[in-house]
Amino acid sequence: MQKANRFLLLIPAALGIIVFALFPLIQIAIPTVTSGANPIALYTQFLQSNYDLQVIFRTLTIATVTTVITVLLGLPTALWISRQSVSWRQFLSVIILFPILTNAVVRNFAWIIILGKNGVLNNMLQALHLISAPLTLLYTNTAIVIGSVYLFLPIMITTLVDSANGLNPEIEEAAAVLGARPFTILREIILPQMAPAILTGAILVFSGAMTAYTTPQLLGGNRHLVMSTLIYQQAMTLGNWTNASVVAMVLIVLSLIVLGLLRWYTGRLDRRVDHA
Amino acid sequence: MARLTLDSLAMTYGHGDPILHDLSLAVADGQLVSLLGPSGSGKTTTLRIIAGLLQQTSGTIKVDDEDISRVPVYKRGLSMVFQSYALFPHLTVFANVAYGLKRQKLSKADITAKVTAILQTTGLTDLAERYPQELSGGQQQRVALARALVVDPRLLLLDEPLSNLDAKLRVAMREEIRRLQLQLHTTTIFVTHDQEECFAISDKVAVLNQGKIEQYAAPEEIYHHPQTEFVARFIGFENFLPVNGTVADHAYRVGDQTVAVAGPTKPDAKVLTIRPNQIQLSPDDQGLSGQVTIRTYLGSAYRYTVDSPLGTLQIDGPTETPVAIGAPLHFTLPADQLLPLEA
Amino acid sequence: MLDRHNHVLQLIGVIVLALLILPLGIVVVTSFGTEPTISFPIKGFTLAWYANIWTQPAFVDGFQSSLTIALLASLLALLIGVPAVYALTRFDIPQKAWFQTLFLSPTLIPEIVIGFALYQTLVIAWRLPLWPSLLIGHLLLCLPYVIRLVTSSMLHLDPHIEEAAWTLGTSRPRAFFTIVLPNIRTSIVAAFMLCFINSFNNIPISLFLNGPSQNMLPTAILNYLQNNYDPTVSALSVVLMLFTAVLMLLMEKLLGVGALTTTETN
Ligand SMILES: Nc1ncnc2c1ncn2[C@@H]1O[C@H](COP(=O)(O)OP(=O)(O)OP(=O)(O)O)[C@@H](O)[C@H]1O
Ligand SMILES: [Mg+2]
Repeated sequence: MQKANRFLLLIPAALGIIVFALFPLIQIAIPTVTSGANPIALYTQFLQSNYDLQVIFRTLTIATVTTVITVLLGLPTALWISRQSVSWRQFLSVIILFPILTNAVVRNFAWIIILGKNGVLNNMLQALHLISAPLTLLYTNTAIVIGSVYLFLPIMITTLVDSANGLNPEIEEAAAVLGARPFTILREIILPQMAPAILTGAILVFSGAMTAYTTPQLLGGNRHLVMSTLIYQQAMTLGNWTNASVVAMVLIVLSLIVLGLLRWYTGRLDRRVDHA
Repeated sequence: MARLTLDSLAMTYGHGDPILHDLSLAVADGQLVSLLGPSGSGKTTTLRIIAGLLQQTSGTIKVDDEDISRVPVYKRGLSMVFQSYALFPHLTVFANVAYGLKRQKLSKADITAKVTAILQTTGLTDLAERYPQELSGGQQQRVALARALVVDPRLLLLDEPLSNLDAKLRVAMREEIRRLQLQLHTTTIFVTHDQEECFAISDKVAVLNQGKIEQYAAPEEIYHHPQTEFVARFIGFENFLPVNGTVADHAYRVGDQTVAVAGPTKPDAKVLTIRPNQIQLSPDDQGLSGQVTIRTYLGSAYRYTVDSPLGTLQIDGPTETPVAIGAPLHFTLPADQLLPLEA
Repeated sequence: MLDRHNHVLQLIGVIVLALLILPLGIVVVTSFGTEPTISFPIKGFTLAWYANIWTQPAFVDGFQSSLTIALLASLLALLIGVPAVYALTRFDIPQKAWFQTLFLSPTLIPEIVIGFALYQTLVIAWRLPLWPSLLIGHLLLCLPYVIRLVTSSMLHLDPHIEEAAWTLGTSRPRAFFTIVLPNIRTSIVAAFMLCFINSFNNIPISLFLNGPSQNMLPTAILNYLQNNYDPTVSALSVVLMLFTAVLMLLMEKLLGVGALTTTETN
């Protein structure tokens, strides 16, 4: 086959991405450096604003806390699932998969019902006389974290179950025979072996939670903006497109930095795994 | 360095059939005892119960005079080498070997000294900083052994440690195991289904059949005097002649034939057994005669399947004078080689 | 030991599973309540909210356009993605790594930014109507799934079977359709399913490319929730969950039990 023909097969996809993803990205990036007094004026302005810094900080904190909680809950769950019989494992995996494939609006909506002023949780706590007046749970940072954990935990679990299924139980038994108690085995034998999968899961969850729109929009409300909701607000509510672009650029850069760091760290772990 | 006593161990997985029945075994200090048996006979189960990885349904395990039947696995102070080696993939060779010592809370200096010494003994010094995935099968095997031995275990348990190695390495490694075991005087249980392997290195052999010990004796004893048909079959006796009575005190009835044996007959004998290479070919018109139906070349001999008045027999013959298929074969059963079995 | 009988693992596992399922269960229950606002536990029982879904044009239209866009975007992604993967895995293309990165680059751009950039460029600057812009946005969402899944199955497919077909006198395109395609069918179906589900559920990209004339179902629900808190959304959620369940069943039928649990993450 001729050289030209080979590239013919690549052209639609390549062109599509260049024209419809990269070009528009450049298109929105240009005003962010041309409309200020100097190329970085808008960015320094953005990064000097207390309000905007708070949004960045909130975004990163929520993504970090979400990632940590999904690891803490996901790891034991994944281990538990991976140690069931094959048929049970399949059943549980389907249960985990179902939320992943269910619309995010639906999943966040569930938490509006639970966390609202007259929501399930407040009603329950009041019925148990644990509180006298309803707590403010919805439209808080905590609500966003809860929603994000709910959204991303299944992805973390799926990633970790795959890895846990590959563990050789004899390795844990070898440690036990040599004197390691269950918790020591978890910490010294299982965790290090699953570290690459934990990082993979962390990358998926962190980048997802950092850029998610629906959850902060529905559970955070207008007073708890994160970067993605700030982009939308700047662009569509305030009509300030250049500002929205600035936030967009900062979001991209931040998420690339975090992904880069996590990937770099994963790469460092690879020496053990590569030769397997 | 200890004695091991198993007393009436029984094991049932879940609600299934019992896997071990009333299994008792005494291993003397510093001995290497093999558990020999076919697949599914319960060797691994027994070993895992001793290690504490499985809880027996009933029975007791004693090391010296201490009853460890209910002691959790991590407190038993034993060592085990797994069939898959089960090296820690995220730790270097050095750290793998050091793991058990670290669990014993030894000082760093002690750990380094002991690990260095055992790496030396097992010839692993140059590989100390490698990860398990960077080692050959034989080297991994050595690391597993070093990791098990460095803690100076009361008991060393080996579950088919050589089955993942090629034939040449198996021989070398089994000698290595024996050498280290003798040098360190470690009481050892060695699980295998390879009779040559276990005969080569064991002080005593316990032959396991469906969760029961059929015979427990020194290799030579087992080789020459199997006590049951099962043991005999397992170690290469191919001919089993059903006995239906005795003739005086020197012969048995087999079918309509009389077969003479050395020594007094046993009234309870059920079969006579003999190895193919113990049957002697005789000149034409002497001894018994049969017809060759199958001939296989074994390298050192031909093995004939022979239809004879005693039934179908396996007989080995020299390669210099092959007998054709369909041709008659004359043979005698040496009276002093025939072994009467009562079960 | 940390086996299936370990109480700590079991406890956490059961709690986590309950936390994953219960919220959705609560949504299901609230969809049957008779009160005009969502309450739990419910008083009375009615199916009226299910009927109410169909009286909301935004939902009905939104469902239609979400379905259409998801189907078209998934098909288009396969149509331009599979040839690209074939070229990358079967021809010796010097800039291979470069193309790989290019094809997966949309995953590095937050979806909300893709939506915003498309809105700025296609809709504002180029004056493209919303519908094709939406389709393009969803195509960008889908393409990386196709590239990833199909690449991995092409790499597993022995290149010699194709060569065997050529030596038997089959033309290259014909060999692709009769030999290669049937062998990578599973990954193509899986990619299609994932594209479809992700496109159908997507919000951030659709968000900017929405208008009075152009509704997508998830954004329609989002808008509805801004002003209403009645069990219609619960009812609609139940319908969507059933939709998910049907898709999962379909996936299992088409791809087998194992595929269902392994395709999502890779
Ligand atoms: N976890 C288990 N649950 C139920 N039955 C088991 C389990 N493990 C082993 N068995 C059964 O117990 C019997 C003995 O198994 P064991 O592994 O001890 O045999 P083995 O002698 O080690 O065999 P091999 O030479 O194949 O390793 C077998 O019939 C096996 O099917
Ligand atoms: Mg075994």
